Amino acid sequence: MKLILFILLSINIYASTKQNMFNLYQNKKYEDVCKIGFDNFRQNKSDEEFISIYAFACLYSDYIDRLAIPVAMLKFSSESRANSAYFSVILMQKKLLYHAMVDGYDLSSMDIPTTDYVLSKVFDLYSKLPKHTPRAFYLFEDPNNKKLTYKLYLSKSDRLNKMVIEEFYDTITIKRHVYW
Amino acid sequence: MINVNELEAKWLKYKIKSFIPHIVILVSILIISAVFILFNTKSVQNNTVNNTIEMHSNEKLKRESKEETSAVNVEEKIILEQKKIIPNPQPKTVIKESIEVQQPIVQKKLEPTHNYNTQQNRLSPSLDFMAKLQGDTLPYFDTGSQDRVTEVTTKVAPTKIEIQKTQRRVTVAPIQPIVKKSSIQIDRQNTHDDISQVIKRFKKNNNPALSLFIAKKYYQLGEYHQSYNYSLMTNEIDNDIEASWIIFTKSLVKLNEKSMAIETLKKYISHSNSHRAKILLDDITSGKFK
Repeated sequence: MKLILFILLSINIYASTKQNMFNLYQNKKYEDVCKIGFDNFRQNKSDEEFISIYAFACLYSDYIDRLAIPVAMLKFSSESRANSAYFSVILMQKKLLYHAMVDGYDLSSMDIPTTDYVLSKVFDLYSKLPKHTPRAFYLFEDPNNKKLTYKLYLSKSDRLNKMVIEEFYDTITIKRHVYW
Repeated sequence: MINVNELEAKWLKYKIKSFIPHIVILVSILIISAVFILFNTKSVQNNTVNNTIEMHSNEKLKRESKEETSAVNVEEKIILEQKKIIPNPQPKTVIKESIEVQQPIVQKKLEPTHNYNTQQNRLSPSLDFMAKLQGDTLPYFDTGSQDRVTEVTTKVAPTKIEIQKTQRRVTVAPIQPIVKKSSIQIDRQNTHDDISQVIKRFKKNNNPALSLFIAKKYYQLGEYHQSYNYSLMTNEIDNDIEASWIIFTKSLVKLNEKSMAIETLKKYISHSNSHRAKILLDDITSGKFK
């Protein structure tokens, strides 16, 4: 009897975690969802819905490095594979752009898939630049909306340089993304 | 006299009997945990087996390619040695032939890296699992064999009346009948079914996330009266949800209440300083959003 109760309780906890994550995701609390997903990942590693919601939450809260595991785990349905490819492109673009910004790696010869995510937009705009000497910052105008601009620069520190993308709408800062 | 032997035997029996329930519980826990682990690790094992097979095959391929290249080198060496040792009348042609035969194998393996990604594609995320998740959270509502379209009309109508009462404060144009029964509805049945389920759930727990979801869905379907109603409900429950205010004003614009939308947005911006709301206000005033 105690055992059955224990099993039922554990199933209930499992279901409530997913439900909680979904509710938080609907309320756009992506960082919370990403943290809960990270803490409960081991118990839910075979649930692709859980992994997907965790990955999207981490993407929207700029924890892009955490996408590496979902990229490897999402493979059993066509939807999961599509999402896996989507995340892998963003992860790759982040790493390449960071490498280019810090070490001057040339991206002009790159011709890789893109996404609708802000990092991909900046990556596309940056990779279209001809070979140049590194600048303090780059300002890009969104090709679809002239009022939207992106500022790309390196925030330098002794230990680690961080790549910053700022989104502006008519000179108002909308969002700031920091990657390293 | 006390019979010590008999007493000891009795004590031993008693002791064994007292341990039986503990042992039974322990064994059952072990069995159940073993079954759990088996079920959980089965999929993982399959993956690892596949991975190891892939790794082995990759290693094999690498070895094969290495062997092939080394075989070419060895052949070249042997031929060159033969050239040195035995004076052959046509040694150069032999070397050329052996290289010509071996080279294409190596080149073929390297080719795909050069022709990789010639076209730029736009990848988009697939969020269908969200609807599935939404469905999973509604286990206790059976729609039964009822007609889905009629269910939507009957269930949604009462909420409409409630909202019209609250509308008096805002003074918005009267709301038209909600769902039109047309032949196009057949394509929308699944979405409407989903919405009706969410509406039921919303009525039970009054969660603003659900009403916002319904408002968004109705807006996507072009049913702006309904999206207006549900975003208004969301605002009444929680007036700090930015997305709800945005859907609310967008619906107002779609219902030809542009001035009301602008007024509402201005009030919301002064209250929250929302950037998204500012962008939307800009779009509405410039006529970009119609």
